Amino acid sequence: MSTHGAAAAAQRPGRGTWIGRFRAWLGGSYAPYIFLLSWFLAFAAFMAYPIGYALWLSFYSWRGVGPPEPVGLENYVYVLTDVSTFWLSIGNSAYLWAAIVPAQTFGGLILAVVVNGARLRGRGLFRTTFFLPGVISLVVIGVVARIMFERSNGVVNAFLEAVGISPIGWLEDTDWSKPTFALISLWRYTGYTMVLMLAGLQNISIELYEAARVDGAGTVRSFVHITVPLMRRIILFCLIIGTIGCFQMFAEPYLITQGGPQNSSLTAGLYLFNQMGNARLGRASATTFLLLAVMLAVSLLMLRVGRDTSEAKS
Amino acid sequence: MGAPVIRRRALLQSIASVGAVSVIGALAACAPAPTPTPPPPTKAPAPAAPAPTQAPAAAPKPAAPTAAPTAAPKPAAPTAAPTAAPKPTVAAQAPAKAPGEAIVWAPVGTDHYMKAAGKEFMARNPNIKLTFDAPGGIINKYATALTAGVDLPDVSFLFDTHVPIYYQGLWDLTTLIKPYAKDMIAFKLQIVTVQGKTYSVPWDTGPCVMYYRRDICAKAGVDPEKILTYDDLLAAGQKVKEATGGKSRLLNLEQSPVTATNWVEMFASQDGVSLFNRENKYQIKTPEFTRALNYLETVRKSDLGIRRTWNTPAYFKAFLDGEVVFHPYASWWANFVPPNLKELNGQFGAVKLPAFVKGGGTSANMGGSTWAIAQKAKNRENGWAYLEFAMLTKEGWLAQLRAEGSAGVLPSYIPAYDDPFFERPVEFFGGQKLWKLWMEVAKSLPSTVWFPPFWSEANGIIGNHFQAMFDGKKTVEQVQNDSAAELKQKIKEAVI
Repeated sequence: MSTHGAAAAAQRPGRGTWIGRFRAWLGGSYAPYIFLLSWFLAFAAFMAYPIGYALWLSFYSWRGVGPPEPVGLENYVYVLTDVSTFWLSIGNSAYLWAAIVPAQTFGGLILAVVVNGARLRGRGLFRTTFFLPGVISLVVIGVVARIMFERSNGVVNAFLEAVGISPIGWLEDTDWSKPTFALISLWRYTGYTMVLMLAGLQNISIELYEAARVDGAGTVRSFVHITVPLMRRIILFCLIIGTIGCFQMFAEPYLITQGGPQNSSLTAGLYLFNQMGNARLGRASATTFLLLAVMLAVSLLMLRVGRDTSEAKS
Repeated sequence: MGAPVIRRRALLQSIASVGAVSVIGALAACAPAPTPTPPPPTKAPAPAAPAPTQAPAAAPKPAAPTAAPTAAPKPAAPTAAPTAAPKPTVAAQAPAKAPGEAIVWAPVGTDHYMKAAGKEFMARNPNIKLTFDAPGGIINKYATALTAGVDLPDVSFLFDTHVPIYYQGLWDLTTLIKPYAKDMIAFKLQIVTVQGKTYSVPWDTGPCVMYYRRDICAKAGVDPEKILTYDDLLAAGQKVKEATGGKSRLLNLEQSPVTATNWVEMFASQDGVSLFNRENKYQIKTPEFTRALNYLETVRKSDLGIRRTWNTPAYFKAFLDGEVVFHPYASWWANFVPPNLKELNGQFGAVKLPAFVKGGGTSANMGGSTWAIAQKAKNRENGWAYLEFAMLTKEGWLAQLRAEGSAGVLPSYIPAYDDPFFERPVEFFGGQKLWKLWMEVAKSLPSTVWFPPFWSEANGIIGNHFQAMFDGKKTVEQVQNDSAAELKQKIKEAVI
């Protein structure tokens, strides 16, 4: 409590009663606590309770109606031993992560550097154009992608055929479905990543680049030795957000292939949805916490690998 | 002794904890609890046949959700149709006593049927106002509403396969529907009956026929009326392929796993075998399924199949471009085709499904849906009155069938078929009397059709193995063994 606050509190009536002492102890006003309490109530209602309830439910078998039946760890055992679907979905998500996240992050960084260039004409137009896919509805993207990538009549294959390449089963072939989703995601999210990177780039002092130039550093060296180290935190943030996005990817496979062909595009997020769709709510809850564990482990690993050792030492 | 010191941070934490606990407690009180089954209706509806003025009551008191429907006599309405069904019911004729309402969730594709019947119902029951809503993702929304027990519609669409999952939240209609049981297509009532109790009113059935492109068959010199066996069909497919220079194929080997499961089952169910029998035993290794799978494998190997996903632009374009000529499918296919293939008006025809052996079964079912009333619905008696009229009277059904855009929705209520309506030609199908064909198949559907409570899960699993076979990555034997092994591992209720 500040001195000013204490003095003000001391002047208020009721100073000698226990209510007055309590109020003074709080700093002279209930208002901050009432404001904070509303947040805690909302948090408890819409975050803590659902999470707690889902955790409780993960130990029950429940189809949404009727009494839940306790099953112990059965839901966790089921999911962990479901090699042909759950682990396949984790593998698919890992594949998508490898194909999307590094390219999206570093692609976004390079795009940001390019559109941040002072000499580039029409910077605003480029920035808007690259960012635009990020604001298009996923439903629209899903419908259009399904038409564009269709094997027999899709425009992508029509283009390939025009240049003498055989049609590809983008969405029908188990080998091609994941690369197709990677392409769609890169197209949609690289521009979004670029905007995040751009915000970071604009916080780097121009004097650093000027000093480097005086010392004889070229564009590439400046990028490697100034931009990348100073963008470390933003890069790390983008990597973690991208990782979570990959494991939670749902709308694209749901709208375009429903996880097919033969579960080749079944992501972890879609697996979770399917459990709910099958009215296996306990199993879906268990899947949620297992996915949380996976994402937490990957994110912690990234934080560990990407930590700033110089800051840690100081 | 000094006063105990409470640190401000500790107090804040305490406030937060108390707040959280109180909110959790309050919400927990709203959490779904074991729901006791409400007492069954105290009185069975009076049989309609001997006394046309008697019927199950149509929602006398919307305020009492647990009130049992009564069988109070009602005066016959002067608007009773003179061409009524053999056993006219009072719901069709008598206005409800008390004013009330009912909310009906009818998804797009079903809404025009339900609204047409609703209009007729409200004309006869001016005291009951029906409100129709067509929410997207209706099954998930309904499941959520059933779980929460709030914002429930009084009547909702469900697929037959969902009834065994959600039955504990649905109103037990056993007593109400009993007088009509003998007039229903038998399996339709059985698949919405769980542990001896009926939880919904069957709507349509899915009699399957074989659709074909008239123009391409004529060009290839193929007479579909002469295709009596699947061997004949294979020969016709070769002929069509040759006549079109390899452009046209025989069948679409369905690309969607879920739809493929239903589609493959259609072939085996012609001979009375479903994927699961009533003991939930998996039937994939029966001779009927082996024969069906071998046939489809032959189609693939002979390069007579295309691969498209049901109800997608590519699917309809394949028909438009003549890439596929024959399409064994359910009656409700006719609901989807005219709006998507206007250019082919008059170019489709239909015949009965071929048999696997001469004289073998040609009737199969695919899909089907039902209408349920939630146990906790506010106006469930009104909902029942409406469903009774719409689904269990001839007048209700004729109102649906005459709705604009009506096609391929075949009643589960047999007396509804006793009408000249089923003789009418269907313009889109070249003036063919398609309703009559569908009706003939519907009336002879095998009674062995069965969906176990785990159907939706099993469907996805099995469908993926079928997909692998259609892609040439698995043999018939591998599909049978692998799907059985996966079901055994994942669905403990399935008998393998």
